[in-house]
Amino acid sequence: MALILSPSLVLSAAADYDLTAPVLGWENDITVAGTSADSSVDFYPATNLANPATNLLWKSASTDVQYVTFAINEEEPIDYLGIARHNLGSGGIIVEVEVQLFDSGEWSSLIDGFVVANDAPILVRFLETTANAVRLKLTPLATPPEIAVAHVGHMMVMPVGIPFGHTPLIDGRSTRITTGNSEAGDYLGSIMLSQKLNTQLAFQYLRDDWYRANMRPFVKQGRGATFFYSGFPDSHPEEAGYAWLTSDPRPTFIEAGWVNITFEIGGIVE
Amino acid sequence: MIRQRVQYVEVDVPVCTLVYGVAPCMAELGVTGAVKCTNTRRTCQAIESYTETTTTLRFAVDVGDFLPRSIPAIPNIESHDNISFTAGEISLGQTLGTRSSLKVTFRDHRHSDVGPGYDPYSTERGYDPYRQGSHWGKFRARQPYLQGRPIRWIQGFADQALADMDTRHFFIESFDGPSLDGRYSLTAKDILKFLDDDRALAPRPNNGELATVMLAPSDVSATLQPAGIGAEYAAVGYVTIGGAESVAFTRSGDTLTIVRARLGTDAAEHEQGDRIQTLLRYDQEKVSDVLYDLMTVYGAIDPAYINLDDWHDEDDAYIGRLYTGNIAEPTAVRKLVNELIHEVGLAIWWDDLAQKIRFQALRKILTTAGRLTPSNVDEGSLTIREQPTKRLSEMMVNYALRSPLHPLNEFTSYRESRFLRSGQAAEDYGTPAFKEVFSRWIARFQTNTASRVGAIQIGRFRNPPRKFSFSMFRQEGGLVVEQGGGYLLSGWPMQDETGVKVDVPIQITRLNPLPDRFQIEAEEMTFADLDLGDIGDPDPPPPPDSPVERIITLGDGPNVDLRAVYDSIYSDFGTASEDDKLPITFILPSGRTIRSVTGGPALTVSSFQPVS
Repeated sequence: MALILSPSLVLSAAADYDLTAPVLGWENDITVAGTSADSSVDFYPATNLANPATNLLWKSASTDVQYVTFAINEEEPIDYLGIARHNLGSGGIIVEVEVQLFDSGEWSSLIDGFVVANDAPILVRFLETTANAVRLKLTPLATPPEIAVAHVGHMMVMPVGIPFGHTPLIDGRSTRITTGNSEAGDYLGSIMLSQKLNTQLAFQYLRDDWYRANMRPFVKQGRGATFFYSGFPDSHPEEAGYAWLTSDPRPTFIEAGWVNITFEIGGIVE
Repeated sequence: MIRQRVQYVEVDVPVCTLVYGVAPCMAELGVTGAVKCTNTRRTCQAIESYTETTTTLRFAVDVGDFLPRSIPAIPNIESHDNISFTAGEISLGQTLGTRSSLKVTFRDHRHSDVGPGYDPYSTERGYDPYRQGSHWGKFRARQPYLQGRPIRWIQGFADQALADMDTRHFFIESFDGPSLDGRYSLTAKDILKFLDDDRALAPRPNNGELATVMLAPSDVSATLQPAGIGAEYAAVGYVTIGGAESVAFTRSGDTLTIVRARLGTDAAEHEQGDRIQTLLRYDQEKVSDVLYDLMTVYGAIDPAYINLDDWHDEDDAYIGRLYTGNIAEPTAVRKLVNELIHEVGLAIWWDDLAQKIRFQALRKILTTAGRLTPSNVDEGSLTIREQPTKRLSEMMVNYALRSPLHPLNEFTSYRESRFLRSGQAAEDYGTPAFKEVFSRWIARFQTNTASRVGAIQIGRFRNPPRKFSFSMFRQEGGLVVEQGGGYLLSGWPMQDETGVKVDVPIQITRLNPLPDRFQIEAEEMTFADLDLGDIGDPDPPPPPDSPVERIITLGDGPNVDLRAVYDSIYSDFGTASEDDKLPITFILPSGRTIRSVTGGPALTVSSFQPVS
């Protein structure tokens, strides 16, 4: 039922999905008021999960089995969960996703327990449903879990693929390096000053009615909007990332009924 | 593996340790304020119970991928270029130089308001703090009292622990923003900024006036007004009355018992309302102790930033003299310190890595100093500039100020002068280069100390030092240069008369630690091997790095005790041993008279036996 897009794992692939379609998870139903955890370290509360900042972490103080719970609007459909800036892979922490359909209802498993091999962003896609709450059941080995960003919401599934010429975010490094040479002609070494990931996501020949119904609300978010995404969920789940728009996207209505748009993005892949 | 540069900035901000409304905090919601404070002084609603501590906020340059996650920090410094540093300049033997200035520009952003130094009641506010306002907007409203607060600039590599990185220490001077373009900046200076004219005076100004209706020249008691103002004065010391007479006093309440006409002033008549100002007196003290007192007592510099033992060691090894100064009116500490730097021949600077104020006598660079060669100096970076205006061949040192009320810059204010001259230098260069010093710090009899001023300055500047500018890449395992450090610089432009490359001794006067390299300014540090007789001094002072000689010129006076004269100038006799033997020469120049009064001997040698 579920597709877990992560550099380390594709749990299962159901026939219900178009596995070739790029996906963007920008809608997020998580709120500060609805977020709680069984355990938190001082100054690293679970409410930090409800904002998009990757440096503001929730940190657990416990290595026991524990839950992180997101109460959400049960009238809004959801079909994905995103997790970024975490230690679930390096900590060997088993992650299980449970759902509560109605207030005070029973919790049932939505995604069976899985372990990821590294700390890259995780994008979990499941069949559309509604729920009163979603929770992560975390079973640590010896390391208390920590997560900076979580999304639960409804994905935007692109009707077209990414055209040739695309640079995956994971390969889109911009590096500043400085090198020293002495008066005597010696090579003195190099120092890296920064290294950031950025790329472009271009979509061509989107139907204008689809754009207006599905993508315009995202474009309206403008520069700084954050999202999980996978450009090639079927063939290259390892290229999933957590990204943000680094400029305001501007759609181009190229001819009657068709739209081109390019997103300039920066992001993290681990 | 290319090393990955990271930079952090830490700011120590003041916060209250109490909990809102919980005793001893007297704030009460709905009574003292409509909303709770944020545990800062600016938002405090019960300031009398405000209890301060500091907490550290850490920010990082957003280097992207390799920023270590193990070091918590907000990466809101957009790039390395947003940390700009203007290195302070050490002015060797001249002044305190210029102050280092660190400016950090932060990008504004949303923030959860959670964490040490943020809003302790964020969960009670009824709004999502991440989505209301911005980090620096809220910070500005809560933390406007930042001047003088510590700020640390940390440079390292991604694979280093924070404690192993270079941490440079400064103090916040001002802030700016947040601006419309989402920028907030902090500007910081080194600690010697505390000595600036607008914040440090010695002695401190007093508010007391003479209450006595008429104080005759023979009166020995005076009363201060307004009532209770006596608490502003010490129990014993010196004051100046009406800017006309310095007196010694002991105080009880508002009443002064005074000894008239002290420190070279005459007893005068004073009227009610004449101001009474504390006179600051340093009597035969080491220059290191005088500077320590000026900086810590009057400049409010934390004594922890001075290693006085190190200062004493330097003083004993390379200066070895005592200084006397009387400051009658509130004077900028910076001015007083500058006088001492010039007259003693010092270099003083802020070591931002060690968090210490360094104190060094001008002296030669050791031949074992680190070598800066074409192999570690950046390609094309070396520039050399001659500084002919720094040349010096003649010096007039005026000393033995008649009284602390005499104007400092007038020749007639001084009882004694020494004219020192390097005739050979004037001949070599074709013209003399003259400089005059007016010293309030050199007392009578200190002829040798006055001569030393000339020896140091003429020796240092007989041949004008060159100024060098260059950069050095931060090479792994390479030489790490330091502000104030002495080195030997070589390069093809530095040659002797036969064309052989020579090492030039330099002292680094300005060091800018960029993320990838050090930008360096240095001054040639040579002392001319003067034939000291050549500078026209019959009592030739020692060169700067030789053992201190003991030559004392006597003045007119009655009942002179040579041991007492010696102790008034040098501090080391009591600790001397047989191994420390130095000749002591007393000179009585022609025309001077030592006489006997009250039946005692005109001249006694007293005891000069060293302690065992």
